[in-house]
Amino acid sequence: MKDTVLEVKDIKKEFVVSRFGRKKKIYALNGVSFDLKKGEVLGIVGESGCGKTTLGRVISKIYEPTSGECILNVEGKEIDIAKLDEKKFRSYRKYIQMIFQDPFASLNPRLTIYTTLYDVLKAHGIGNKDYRNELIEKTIKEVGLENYHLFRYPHEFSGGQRQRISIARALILNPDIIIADEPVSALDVSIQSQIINLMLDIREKFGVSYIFISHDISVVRYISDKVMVMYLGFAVEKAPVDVLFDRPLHPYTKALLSAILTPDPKKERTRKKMILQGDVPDPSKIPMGCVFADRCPIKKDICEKVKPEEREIEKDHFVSCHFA
Amino acid sequence: MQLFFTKKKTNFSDVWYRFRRNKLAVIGLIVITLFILVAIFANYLMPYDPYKIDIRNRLKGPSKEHWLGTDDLGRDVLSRLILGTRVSLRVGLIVVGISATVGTIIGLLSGYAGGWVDNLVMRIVDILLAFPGILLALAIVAILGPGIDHVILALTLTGWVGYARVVRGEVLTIKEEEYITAAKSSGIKKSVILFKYILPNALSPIIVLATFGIAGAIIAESSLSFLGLGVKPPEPSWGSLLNVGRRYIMVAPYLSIFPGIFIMVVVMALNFIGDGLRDALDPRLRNK
Repeated sequence: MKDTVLEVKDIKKEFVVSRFGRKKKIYALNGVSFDLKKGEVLGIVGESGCGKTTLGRVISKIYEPTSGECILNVEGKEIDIAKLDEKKFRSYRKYIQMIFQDPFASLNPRLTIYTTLYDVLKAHGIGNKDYRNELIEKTIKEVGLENYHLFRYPHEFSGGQRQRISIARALILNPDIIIADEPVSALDVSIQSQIINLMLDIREKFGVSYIFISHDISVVRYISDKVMVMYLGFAVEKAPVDVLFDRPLHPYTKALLSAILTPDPKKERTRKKMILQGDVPDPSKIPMGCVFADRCPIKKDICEKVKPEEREIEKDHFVSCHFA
Repeated sequence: MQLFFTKKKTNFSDVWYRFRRNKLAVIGLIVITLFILVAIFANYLMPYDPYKIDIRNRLKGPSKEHWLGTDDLGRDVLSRLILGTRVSLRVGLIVVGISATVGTIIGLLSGYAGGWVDNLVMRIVDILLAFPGILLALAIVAILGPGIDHVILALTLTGWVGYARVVRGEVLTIKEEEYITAAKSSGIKKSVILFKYILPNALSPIIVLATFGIAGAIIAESSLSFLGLGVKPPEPSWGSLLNVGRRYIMVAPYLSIFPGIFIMVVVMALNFIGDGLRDALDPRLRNK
């Protein structure tokens, strides 16, 4: 276990919303656990509202987790960052960095790229001015941009370039973990592959681990070492990427995989698809039994009454379903 | 390395470059500079003694001797306007300067903090807004006694609320933007986020409000002066000249027209500067 950089145990997050004075709890994360090894890419998939983004933001402490542990293994020691307050977490922030979905919204329109990057270094008190400049220059080259780009403003770049800048902003702190929240969903398909390959190059070079959040299963398949499928704040299935795509066990995973198009139109027409009815249930009313029960094609009585335990079916392949 | 840094333009020269390209803004800046110079050198510019009464020549229209005519006591209007520039500009600029600064800081903190702090501040703002500003200023001046400094204080005490409210609204939107979340997640300090990331993005409504605020302050001073709480006659200010002129609007309309034009020109110039500044501060409009 010594090469594990992050171990998340039973993390939970509740939001309290009040509408017309009535308070309501939204259960966004209901006990998610996983671990992440050095240089590994964990793909997280699921439809909108399943808690993918919340999970990323809880780990990077943009949101405070309600309960659970989040053990970061850096500097040769283990720290539970879930329990640290903001001040104490400051010094660990540089180990976990984020890339956001919308490259048009995630850069301050009034700052040049240079200032954006410089501020990050300054906030962490890294180096003096010369060293910072050197680092900025080095990082901008690393993401495939040039020096002359540094004094431009975000609106002067294309979406792909902006996402490179976002990557530079995360990379400049030399993090151990980069959480990428749908980093390519706002980009053209041709640019997507460039960005993904850049991310993989960076992993090779710096040994960064990624948590790659996406609803695009083919992208996740390409980039990930292992995949976690989320549904309504639960991790319903976790497996190494090949295992998951070869032998999906949870009916929800099967449904997701069957939504991927096959390249051959003849096969595509005759292929048996599994189409889910309905929507994700209201996250303020978590069902008593299996969360997927009301949309599940193989549902039995037990599913509505008993919550399925997470079982390890084969090595590293976990699933929460009574019939897997 | 060296080469790369010589190419760097400072932020200020960048903004100045963009500002200069806006003709109207430059004209506005020149006009305001001229008015400030007039206020400073008023003593040398006045063609006549602004207090010298000459009943025989009362209410004379513009002429070669008196360019802008004479008032009800035969005093030279141009001289009085020049001297009045001092009071009016001082009231306008100081009141807006202080209330915009204070209001902006309070609005920023209130909007960013949220929760009960925000609630408390906004209720105070509500109370002050619900109260007619001029009445409150009246009460304050009545307590402290008349005088131009007290007028400035009174107008500032009621003036900041507008800025606080607008800035707070802006902050509420901006703080949910993804670049703020991104800045937080890269560990940038709260104070830096507040003043370097949120404030510049909230600037345009402040600038618009401030340019109109100066006109408002000049008029408010005249109202207070009219009630005998601002400058004491015979000392002139644009507002008080405008007020006196009102009584003779049928026989000598120029008495209120000229102070009105002065106020309008200053307000317009400030508006142009405000517009230019707003655009110059926004890098997105650079290559317009």
